[in-house]
Amino acid sequence: MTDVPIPTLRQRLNDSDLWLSFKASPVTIVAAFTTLLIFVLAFFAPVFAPQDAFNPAALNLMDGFTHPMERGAGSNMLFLLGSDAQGRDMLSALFYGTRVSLIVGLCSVGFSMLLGISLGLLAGYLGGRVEQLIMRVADIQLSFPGILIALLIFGIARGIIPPNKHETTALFVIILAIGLSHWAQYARTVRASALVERNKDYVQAARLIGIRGLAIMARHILPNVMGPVLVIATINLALAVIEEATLSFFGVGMPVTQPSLGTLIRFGQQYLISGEWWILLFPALTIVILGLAINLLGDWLRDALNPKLR
Amino acid sequence: MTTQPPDAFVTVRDLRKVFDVSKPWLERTIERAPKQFLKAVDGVTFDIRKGETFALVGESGSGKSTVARMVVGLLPATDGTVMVDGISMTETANSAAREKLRRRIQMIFQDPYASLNPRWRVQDIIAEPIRAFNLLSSQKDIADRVGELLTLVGLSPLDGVKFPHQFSGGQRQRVAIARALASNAEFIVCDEPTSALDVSVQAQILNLMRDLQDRMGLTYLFISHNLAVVRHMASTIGVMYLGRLAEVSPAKEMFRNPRHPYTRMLLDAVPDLGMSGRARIPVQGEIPSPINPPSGCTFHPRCPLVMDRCRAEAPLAIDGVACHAVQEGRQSAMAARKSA
Repeated sequence: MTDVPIPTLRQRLNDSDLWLSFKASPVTIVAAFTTLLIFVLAFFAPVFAPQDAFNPAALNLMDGFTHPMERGAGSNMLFLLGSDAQGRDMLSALFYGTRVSLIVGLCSVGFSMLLGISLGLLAGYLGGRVEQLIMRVADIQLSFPGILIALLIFGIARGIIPPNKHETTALFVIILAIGLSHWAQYARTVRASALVERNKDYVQAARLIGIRGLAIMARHILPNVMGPVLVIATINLALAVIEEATLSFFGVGMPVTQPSLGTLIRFGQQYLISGEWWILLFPALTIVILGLAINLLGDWLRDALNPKLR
Repeated sequence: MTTQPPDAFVTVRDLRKVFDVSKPWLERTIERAPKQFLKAVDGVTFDIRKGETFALVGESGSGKSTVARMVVGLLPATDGTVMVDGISMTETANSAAREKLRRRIQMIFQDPYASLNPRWRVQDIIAEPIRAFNLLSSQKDIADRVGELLTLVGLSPLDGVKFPHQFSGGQRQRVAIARALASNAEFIVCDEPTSALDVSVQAQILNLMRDLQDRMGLTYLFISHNLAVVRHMASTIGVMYLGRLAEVSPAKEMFRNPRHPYTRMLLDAVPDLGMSGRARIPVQGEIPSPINPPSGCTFHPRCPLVMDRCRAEAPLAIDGVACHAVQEGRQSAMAARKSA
């Protein structure tokens, strides 16, 4: 037992089940590549976008309603995906819009994860009245559609925040609204896993030497319940992006000055009847592709982390 | 407040544990069902001398593990006292002294697959008690001590960087023993430490534990249902039945001359490879439910020596045996009948 060489981190990664199942699934590789591409293009939008799309000074009104693959009448610039009424390049608008959508998605998933994991751990480890209280609140929340709760939170926030600050706080409000509408799922999953883990002997061994409850939750139980949480987080990222788009489409999400994909779709929809289809189509396609890619990644992760399906 | 006998290191007096196993309040109210209680441990008393091994044996459900968990303080006792080296574990008054005592008491669990955190490296698992009790401060000292402990239990110091799943069951139990020794524990409660292991590995682990006991003067409370294992390890044996001690005797004495009818039944159930043709009392029935235990002596429905008194009156332990038949001398009559 002593002369077995200890594998390096690189070797461990190469031999890990996760990597092997990743390599074996072409769909997953394509999904991962697509997701990565969208993330890079979105977060480095100022580098890749042909136009500083939301700076009015960079726009030329004469370029308005340029068809895809045509040159603008004013600036003679090539518009790969066409332009909108103000001569804004749709490709650049997509890059910036996806960035806003992804920021909202990532932050709200992070927020609901933090909240859901903490409450789930408390409920699962402490049990009793704390558990009853947290899980009943989660049940109530889960009985409403997430979008309704997000709308409610958004409305309340609008009422509290003075109107002149609506635009600057919109990003935070929508992150809060979407985040608060998804925590219950994490809490349920974490509680279920924590209930199993807390009765295992390694937790008893830690209690025996006087480790406190919070330290046991954070250092012993948390690492053992993260698997299913990561799967939910991945799938919820796609859900959060779609939910944000829905809210923005209704006009209660991101303001016109910081448009997200949903805001872009709302604009595009006004021009659909008059024949300018590209203003609606490309933001909608982006959401579909992004949502599909992230969901496929989540499905793969769920299967790869579930030993029974292997 | 109880005091310890002069030669005892661990003293357990009249230990009781009652679990509330009632249905939830709403169901209970609708069905008009009363509250239900389970007496898992019902007045257990024994002493362990320093450097000795006291074994608790019994069928599943007899309350052995509950006793173990109460002795180490993982489970609060309903009633009774546990004292280790003159300090009470069960009385809350002297909490500072109890905190100090915690370092000296450790536990080895049954399932080495569940007792080590699968996400921790072995070196962190073993170092956890050292860090928790602030025994060493510098990282290098801790690493040296972990290496020393791994060597002590027959592993390599290089094994510290591995994760538990990279070890076999026996090796994991060695890691668990190293963790128990990390805080310089003097009293180790072993809850069926070998029952999850292969027979070939069991002997290695038991020999390691005896070896460590001899070297470091450890005191063991050894829980097991395996009489062969107990015979190898114990200096004194307590036989538990439905939360009570049926018999407490020195190990050699018990195997040579079992007194309580239940002890006799257990020993007769051990497979006899010698094929000596010795007459046996086969094990009859199963252990009854502790929620609704039999009246009087709880063993009476299975006892070959049962009399009316046994059904009415619970026997007290006299000279280590709690049995009316033994105390009245009826047991020798049965032995005579058997040989006839």
